[in-house]
Amino acid sequence: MRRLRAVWVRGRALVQRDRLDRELAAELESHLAHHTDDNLRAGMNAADARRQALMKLGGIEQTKERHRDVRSFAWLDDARRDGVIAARQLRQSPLFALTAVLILAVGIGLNLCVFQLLNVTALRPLPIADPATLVRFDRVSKFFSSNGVPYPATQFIRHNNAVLAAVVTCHSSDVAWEDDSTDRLRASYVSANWFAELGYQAGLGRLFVEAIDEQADAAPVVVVSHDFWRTRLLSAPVVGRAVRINDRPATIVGVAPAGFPGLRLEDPQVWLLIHQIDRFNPGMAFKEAWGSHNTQLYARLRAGVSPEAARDGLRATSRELARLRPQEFQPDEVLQPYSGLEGFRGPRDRRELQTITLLAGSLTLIVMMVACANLSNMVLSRAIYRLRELSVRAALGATRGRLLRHQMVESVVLAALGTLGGLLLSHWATQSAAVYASLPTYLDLRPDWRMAAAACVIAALATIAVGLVPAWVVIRRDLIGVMKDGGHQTSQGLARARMRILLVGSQVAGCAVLLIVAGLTVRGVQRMLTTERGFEFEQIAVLDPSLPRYGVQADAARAYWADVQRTIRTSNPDVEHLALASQAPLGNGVATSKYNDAPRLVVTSLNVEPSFFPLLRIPIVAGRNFETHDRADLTVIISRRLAVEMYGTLDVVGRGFPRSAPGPIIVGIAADAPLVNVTATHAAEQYSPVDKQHYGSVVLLARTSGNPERLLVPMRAAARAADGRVLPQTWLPSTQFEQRVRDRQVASVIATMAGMLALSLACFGIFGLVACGVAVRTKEIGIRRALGAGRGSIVRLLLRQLMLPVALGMLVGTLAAAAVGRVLEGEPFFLPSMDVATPAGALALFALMAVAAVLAPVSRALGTDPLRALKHE
Amino acid sequence: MKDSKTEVWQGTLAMMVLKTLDTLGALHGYGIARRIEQTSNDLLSVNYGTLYPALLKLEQEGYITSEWGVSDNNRKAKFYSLTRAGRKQLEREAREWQRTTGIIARFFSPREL
Repeated sequence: MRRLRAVWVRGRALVQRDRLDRELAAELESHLAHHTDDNLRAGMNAADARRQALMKLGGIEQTKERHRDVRSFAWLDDARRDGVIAARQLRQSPLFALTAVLILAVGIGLNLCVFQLLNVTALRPLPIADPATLVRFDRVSKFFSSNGVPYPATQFIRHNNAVLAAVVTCHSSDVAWEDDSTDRLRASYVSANWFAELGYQAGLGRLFVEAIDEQADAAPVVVVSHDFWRTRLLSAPVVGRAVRINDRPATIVGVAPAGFPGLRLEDPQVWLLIHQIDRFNPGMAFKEAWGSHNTQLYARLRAGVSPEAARDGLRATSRELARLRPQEFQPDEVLQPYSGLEGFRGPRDRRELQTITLLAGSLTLIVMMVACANLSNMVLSRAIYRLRELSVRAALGATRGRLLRHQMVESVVLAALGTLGGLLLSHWATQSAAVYASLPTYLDLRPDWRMAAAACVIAALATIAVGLVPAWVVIRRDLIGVMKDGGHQTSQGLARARMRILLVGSQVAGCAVLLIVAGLTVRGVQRMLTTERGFEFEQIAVLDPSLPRYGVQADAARAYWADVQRTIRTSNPDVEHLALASQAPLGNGVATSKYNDAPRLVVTSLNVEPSFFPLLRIPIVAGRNFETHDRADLTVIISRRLAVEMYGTLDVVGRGFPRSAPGPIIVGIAADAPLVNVTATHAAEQYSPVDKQHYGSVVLLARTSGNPERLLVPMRAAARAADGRVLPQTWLPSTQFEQRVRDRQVASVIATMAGMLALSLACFGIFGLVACGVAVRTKEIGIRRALGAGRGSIVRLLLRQLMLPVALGMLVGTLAAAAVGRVLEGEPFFLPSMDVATPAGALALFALMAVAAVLAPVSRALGTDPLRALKHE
Repeated sequence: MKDSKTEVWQGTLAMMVLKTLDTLGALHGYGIARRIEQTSNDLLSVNYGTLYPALLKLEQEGYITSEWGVSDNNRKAKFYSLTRAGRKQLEREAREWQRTTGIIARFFSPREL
């Protein structure tokens, strides 16, 4: 209790400093007066009386010091005074202060931006009701795993389990809005209990309600997202409005509240009922498709059932499913749950997240490390100039701890200001990144307590990184010795200090990594634009009628396509070729495989009509093209790279494919044509003919001698004419390509900016190191030159200490960049693998800039008059 | 750098201050210092400067209070007086002291056979 009271009084004393100082002075004066009076009465003369009283009191200043120590928290008081001094010193060198705060703000801002993006997408718990008892199921068996469950299976599970309180399903797709078949909206088909289970009320109108919307004859209804309502529907009173979805009637019953989350970062603009999916896609075999993984299966666990218990409890259901549908379900299959607490993420999602986080985090940390190392060097230089002052303090009795604290306060002030700037910068950067990466609009990007904590941690790290090294290096020295020799010996020693060299070395390494990565991204864009592509897509247009949605298959589909092609040819005489293919070049959603016989290659497989090759101008270099009688399971055409990788020769016509398990016969070899990712060096293609069963899922490619954009409307018209239900989509591969180039260009611009930033920081650091070395060695240089040393030996002396850190830094940086480049080669980055030219170029650039950086101080050293240098103090 | 001797000294000094104020009532800093010297028969030569931090500590803990007033010499001075908590602490310290000296005395007195 007493201690507490003492602490309270001491705390209060912090703010009453001046008054308490005056009171103490008055009290001590009064004490001396009384003592002097007594002495006078005892017979001393005035001067002796006063002197004796003073001696008996002991040193007044020391009494005051000790009193001050007891009065309040000494360290706090010291810190306050140090802070005032630090602020004054920074005001006196505004250029340094501004540069330091700016550099820190950029470094800290970048890191906070990456953290906030991670926070918002992965760290924050999903804002849904009771995430611990809501789980998502993967199908897992010995041979495969899938995060999609066939819709009829979800209904079976719903009615045949003992562990789930509710089953919630979701299927993501797109729908046509009102009358425009090209105006596609992101849509989620969900079960009627979707909103209720997640615990949300409508923003306007009502959301899906099981009692009303679960009925088989329920009216077709749609819920729109808040963002869609605000931006496209202009916040109009839409509840009850009749609209057309996929050209089918539906009624808007409500608007979802702002901030309604997607469970796996999906961001639909409309929600529809999953059991009405065939109303909006007539003929679509969704609700009876036992073989397709089309639905996401979520479930609310019964009270007291853990996810593991649910998994075990569902084994019986899985076995029953395997018994009922042995074609589609294995008896050893398990439904593996992932709870909402882990964001419904399965092992593959987690790995992806970790890779991206690691990559982005490391790169930004490297930038910050380079920035801090640079600042550290600058602070060290400033400390060296103030060595004398420090030595005086040491002589007056300041402990090393006290001196260390004094040195650190300046770094604390810089770090605090830098963090404030960083928070501002990160706010802007996060918004931009969210737009660029098309993050869902419901995410709240505002800083929360996690962000504040991260900011504090980063500020502390920055303080330590910037301030501790110079402070420690300076304090370690014999400061009394400094006072004696006027600072020269120690300064020289410090100029040689290992710490400075280490700092410069780490800057060089960081700079090398960033420059090389920047170089890789620039090369990536270059190659996209200039590579021999192997196929020509500028004059192509693509038509995709999504026939599966209408249940048009096999012969019906074949007839459909014949109709469409005839219509297009007759109404567009400048169409040169038409071909059906299972995929279009530069499209999305590609199926790839790998073969053990050619493990390095990623093989894209397509079903194509014979006209495909001349349409895309892909030459057949050996064998022949497909003919109309060729069947998909008997014949195959492979690309040249695949032939060489797998068989070691181009003479493979007539052999079975793949080599170790021959099935279809190779009838021809096509030139390499990386259709999906234009610059991939490890991509190969495998073509099979279009058989009856493929007609339902192909797209139409058309080559025209005129402007392909003029084909889009006629193609859509032809698709609708052949079957009135169809809502076709058309697009141009060249537009896709341009978009991709643009995306890569933005990335390369950002990477280049980071690289340039690191480069300037590193060169600044090298400049500072050499300049400092020149400044403290002026006397030595004077002596050497007076003794007749040549220019060459002076230059070698100055640069000697630079050789090792720069060389080591470049080596370490190159190795690190190789590792980064390896990771960036994989999806979805597809950077060119490390050739020698890129790192060599980057390092050459760095070397050039470094030489420029040292030119000024070295030439200044060579130019000084030796006599003046000798007299230099 | 504190060693245990200084801490013991500061504790003893605090007790002497409290006892002095208990005996003589309100007193200013110089008066307390003088009185301690007298009571110890001048065996203790106190550095008067050490008194003021000790007085401050006692005041922080609430055992004494201070007030500006006028002394016999017609000078302004800060007078310290004992609080009720201070009186209780003094009694506690006195009891402790008696007990400690009693135990030690047993060791030094001749044993009864």
